[in-house]
Amino acid sequence: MIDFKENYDRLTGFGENGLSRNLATYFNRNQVLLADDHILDVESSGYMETYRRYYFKHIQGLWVAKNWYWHISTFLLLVAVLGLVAILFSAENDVAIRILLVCTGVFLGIFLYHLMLGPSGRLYVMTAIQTRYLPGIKRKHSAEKAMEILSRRIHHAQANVVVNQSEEVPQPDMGSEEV
Amino acid sequence: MLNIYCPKCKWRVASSQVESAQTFRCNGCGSELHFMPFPALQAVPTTPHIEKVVAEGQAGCYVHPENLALDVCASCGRFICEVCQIELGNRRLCASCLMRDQQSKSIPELDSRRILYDEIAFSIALLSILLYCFTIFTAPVVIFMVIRYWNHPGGAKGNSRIKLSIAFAIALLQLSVWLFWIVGGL
Repeated sequence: MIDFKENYDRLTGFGENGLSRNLATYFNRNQVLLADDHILDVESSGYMETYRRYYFKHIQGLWVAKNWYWHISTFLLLVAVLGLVAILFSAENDVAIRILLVCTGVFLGIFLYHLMLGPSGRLYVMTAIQTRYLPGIKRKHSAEKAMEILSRRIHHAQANVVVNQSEEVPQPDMGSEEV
Repeated sequence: MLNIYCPKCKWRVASSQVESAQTFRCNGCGSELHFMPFPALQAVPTTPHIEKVVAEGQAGCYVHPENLALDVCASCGRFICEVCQIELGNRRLCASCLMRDQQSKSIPELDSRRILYDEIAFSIALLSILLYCFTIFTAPVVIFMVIRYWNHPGGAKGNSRIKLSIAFAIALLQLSVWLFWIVGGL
């Protein structure tokens, strides 16, 4: 059996609950671990863990996709904070003002933390048979960071791959990042 | 011509879009995408190259004696041909060894599911406190689980023995309360 501490490092991201998938997996937590030759996607329901491995030599491409629902959650949190501030200014009772201050502070904290983490996004792993996203990575920033870490390892693992030259090779313009 | 599809809506992405910019919008769903291709995308598909045994003294495959053996199985050491070899990590195995080892769960690469006994024991020990009358049944179960799965590896989160130890302590406490109650009643 695998010893996670010895063989794996944590890639990035905080994991997510299953709200974006379905209610049956609401309490599931995901984690992405990195080994020498593969990525391990760990899905935990609390009492059972399931593992999915993506070997570097089989990965054909990585996608980072930005999610739209970050705008909605930001808007809802902003409305909550502004609403609480409006109620706070209209309140006259001392006890009510104190309670509202605490609530506003909590919501403001959550809102700022949400802004600090940045837009939500997903990292998709493309192989010859499937394209799946890693649920353990849920922010665009973490997805890009993970892509950077993984791309070096994947290129190293595929150094000996014989490429079909007749195929069109779509290489993205890396701009100033290209060395 | 390579076929690249949007991972969200499966709309075909034109090669020019991938080439033109680091990030681009999918024409199907409008999602902002960034694609990074790797050499495996344009890899030449390999077909098994089977060589036949032509001369005496050449090693033939254990399953297909007419095929020339290319390697030996990392588990049983039998000769295997191109058709029989199954690559698993850095090793090459024959199908029978793979099947046997998968059933016995001795190949770490094929470990795809793990039950977290530490979490189960911990939850039983903790939740049974809410309905204390059941602890007379649950406490022995928890103690059995702790002893039985002490050496069982935990999940990705880390050491499972801490939770098993706490569960054991709670179960022991519950049993000792029952013991005092029964002895005191007599």
